[in-house]
Amino acid sequence: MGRFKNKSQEQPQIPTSALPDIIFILLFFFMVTTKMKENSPLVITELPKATQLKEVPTDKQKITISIGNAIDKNLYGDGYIIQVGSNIIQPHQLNDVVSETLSKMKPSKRSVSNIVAYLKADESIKMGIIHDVTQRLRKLGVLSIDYSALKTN
Amino acid sequence: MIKIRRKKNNSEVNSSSMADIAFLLFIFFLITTTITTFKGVELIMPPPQDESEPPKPLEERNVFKVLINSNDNLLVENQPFQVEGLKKFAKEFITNNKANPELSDSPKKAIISLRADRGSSYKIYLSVLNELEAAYHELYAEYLNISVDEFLSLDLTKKSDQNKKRIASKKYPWNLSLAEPTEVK
Repeated sequence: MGRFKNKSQEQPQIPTSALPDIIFILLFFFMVTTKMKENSPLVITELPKATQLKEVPTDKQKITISIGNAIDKNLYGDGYIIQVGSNIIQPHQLNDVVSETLSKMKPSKRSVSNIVAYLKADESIKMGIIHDVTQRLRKLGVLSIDYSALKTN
Repeated sequence: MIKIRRKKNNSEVNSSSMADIAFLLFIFFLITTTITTFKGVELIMPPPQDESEPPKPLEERNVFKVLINSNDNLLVENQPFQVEGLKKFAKEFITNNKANPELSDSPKKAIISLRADRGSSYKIYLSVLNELEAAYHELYAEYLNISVDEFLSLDLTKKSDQNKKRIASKKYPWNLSLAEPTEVK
């Protein structure tokens, strides 16, 4: 008479040998898609609130301009400062910023109409400063301004 | 004869902890990553004025005047106003189509004039701008038969979405006049 083999007493195990691979793929995905923040902020920007927020088109070149009070008051004083990249600038220096941005762009897209100024300004800032910046940009031909804000409902 | 039993050598690297290590790295990246989205209230400024050319005369009724003073008070069409009702009023003004002699002739002729004192706060300026944008966005969305949120999330790198926006802004062009701000006194 045929005998059945005793069922093995071992617990069936889920094969976990592929698990590290899966996690590594996830990890690599995140590492590749992550863009490191280039510049640490030098100004405090408490953004105002708004509802009509649009994403800046990805095919446009952004110039991020932060306006607010300095984090380091000993170094920059009590007033507002304007930060572009890692530099503190005055409104008239926007000429250089725009021309530098233009030189970084692809020749086929090198035009001020492809630049968007992304303005991160503290809500307590007075409009005079914002006007100085926007009017300067307007004279340079950068007409597209995006006022950074927090979404509310 | 003596049989030499050879132990079958399982020479595998113990990889059970690999998953844990990978997980740790993975979680580290997840936590340290902040996703920055570039979102904001969009404003296209009118091209710089040519100083040799005198500005075109405008019909009073077609200009929707919004003034902000240094105390953050609003004056809309020469009357004190609150930010909250601005969207409704602006929509009324744009879609007036000659009905009310005080308001615009047609959406195409309607001009929004926004002027803020140098001493007014950025916060109030942006809330006003937001209301005006909201008025236009609601008109656009209505015209395109989509919701405002859908309109706002149109992807302008896509041709089809670009077209939609072009059609809508042809019907209701955003004519903005940014007057030079007044000095603080």
